[in-house]
Amino acid sequence: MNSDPHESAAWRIFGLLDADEAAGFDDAMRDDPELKNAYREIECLTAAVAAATTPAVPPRPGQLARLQLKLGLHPSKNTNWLGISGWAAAAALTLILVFQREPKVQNTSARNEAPLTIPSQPQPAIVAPARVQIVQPSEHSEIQPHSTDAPPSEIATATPQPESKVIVKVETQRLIQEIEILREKLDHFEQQDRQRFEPVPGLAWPIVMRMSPPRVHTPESGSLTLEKENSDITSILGDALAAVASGEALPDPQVKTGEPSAIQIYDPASDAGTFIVNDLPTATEEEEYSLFVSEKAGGIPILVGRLPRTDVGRSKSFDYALGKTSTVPAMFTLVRNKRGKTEQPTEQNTVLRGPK
Amino acid sequence: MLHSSSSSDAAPAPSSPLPPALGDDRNGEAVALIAKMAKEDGAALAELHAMWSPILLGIACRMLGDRREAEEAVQDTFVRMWHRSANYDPEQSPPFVWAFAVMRGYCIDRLRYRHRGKRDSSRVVPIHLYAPPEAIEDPQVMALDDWRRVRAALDVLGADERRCLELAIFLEYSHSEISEHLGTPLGTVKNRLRRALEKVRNQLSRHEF
Repeated sequence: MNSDPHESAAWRIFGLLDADEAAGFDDAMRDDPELKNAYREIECLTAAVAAATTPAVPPRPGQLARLQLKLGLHPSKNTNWLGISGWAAAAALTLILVFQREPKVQNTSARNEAPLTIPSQPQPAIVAPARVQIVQPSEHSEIQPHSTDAPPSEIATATPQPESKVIVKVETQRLIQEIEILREKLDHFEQQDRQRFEPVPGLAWPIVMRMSPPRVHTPESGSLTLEKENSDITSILGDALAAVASGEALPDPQVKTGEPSAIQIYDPASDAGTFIVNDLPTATEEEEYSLFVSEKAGGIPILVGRLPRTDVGRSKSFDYALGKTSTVPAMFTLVRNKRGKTEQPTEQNTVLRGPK
Repeated sequence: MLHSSSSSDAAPAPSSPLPPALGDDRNGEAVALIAKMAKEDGAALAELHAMWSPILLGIACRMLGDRREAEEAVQDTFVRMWHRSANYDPEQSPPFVWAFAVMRGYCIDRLRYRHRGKRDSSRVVPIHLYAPPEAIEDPQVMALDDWRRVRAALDVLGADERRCLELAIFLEYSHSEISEHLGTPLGTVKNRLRRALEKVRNQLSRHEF
């Protein structure tokens, strides 16, 4: 094993030690605090380097629910406001009517205290509407024994007082308003769900764009409109997907053989893109390629990333993400610039551009 | 690809220990959530998932080169974290470092299983376009000054040193595999890796923000 604890720790973490060496390191680490600290330090460094050089990829909807299901946890559910609102309204209305009726028995000015006491004498003056009798038949029959069997003349005299009627009406209106508000909330939640679930990855069509050197572009040459005229979108997509599968870029009929060309396949729903480049000249030690995207036609190009210094050769594909979903790119530009000094695309440094 | 700069030939400073705060959970939020998770609090799991799953998924995509497999890896990472949360000791490693170590181990198991000893680099090559820094830096993963420290430290590396470090971190390539992959002699690979580590450590230890 190496004498430098940090180096040994790094080799252990990177998996560069064979089984015996790794076991020896683990044994040594138990008794050597310095080695243990070195191991922790390199572990932190590895995590930090990995995080600092990797763009985050937003998980697709439903991943958390899947995880909760795996762990036997119950995913949180939305409250069924519509289901609750009907019962809540009925219960509240019943209670309010009871509260309104009882005070009249003892004291018309103290409505809220009434429900606790049952009047000793039936009071014909507080006969409630028929639906209230249905809700609480036993109580009502005790309080108003004559209400259902009473002759029409008695019923006429037992009409509810106007004040009680008004209060019941106001409360009913208030409850109706509450139900409306709850319904609106429910619609809002449903709308949110729809928005969340609309961009279903895998079902959304990816955007397929062709990129070619600037000089071969005619005003129409790179546009999807013209491509649609030449070959329908299904064939473009099919060819492009076949190209991805085979690892080769789709040949651009506008580009001469041996000239660089590229295809962009981007799915805005999942923010997953593949850049397939063909016949790209190898960059020198001091140079590198950078990919830019413009979200609007004529908008400022934003750096997507830099290509690793690899020999692209005939064809190579690179995956990327723009960092947010639902973005529909208007144009991609590949520029060649000095290593470490990313420059905005110009006519001079642009190697490929598309679709316009 | 990592950022490069013209200062790649800068001489490494004398070796000194890293600041202990690198990757630390400065406000204790993640540690508290892991403690809650140990008590089977599903809400804490959901919160940690929201915090870390995007960056973990990004790293897993880079390691495995396949989104669906990466999603499985992230799922299984959280399952492992859930079951091991009771044994988590913040003194041993910061929370994100712990999560990363769990996931890296899982991804490496998958790589080994998939390739039975010989990993196929071509599947990973595609993941080499990086978003601009402002799109990456997430204070819920690391403190913002930590992000900048790491980036500044990586800037001093030469392209070959960075490539060696990447292959070792993300693919767990052996020295000889790196040598074969880059077409470079074995001794050179070892030296480059050693130098890369030394430079990064020294830069991290002398950067003050």
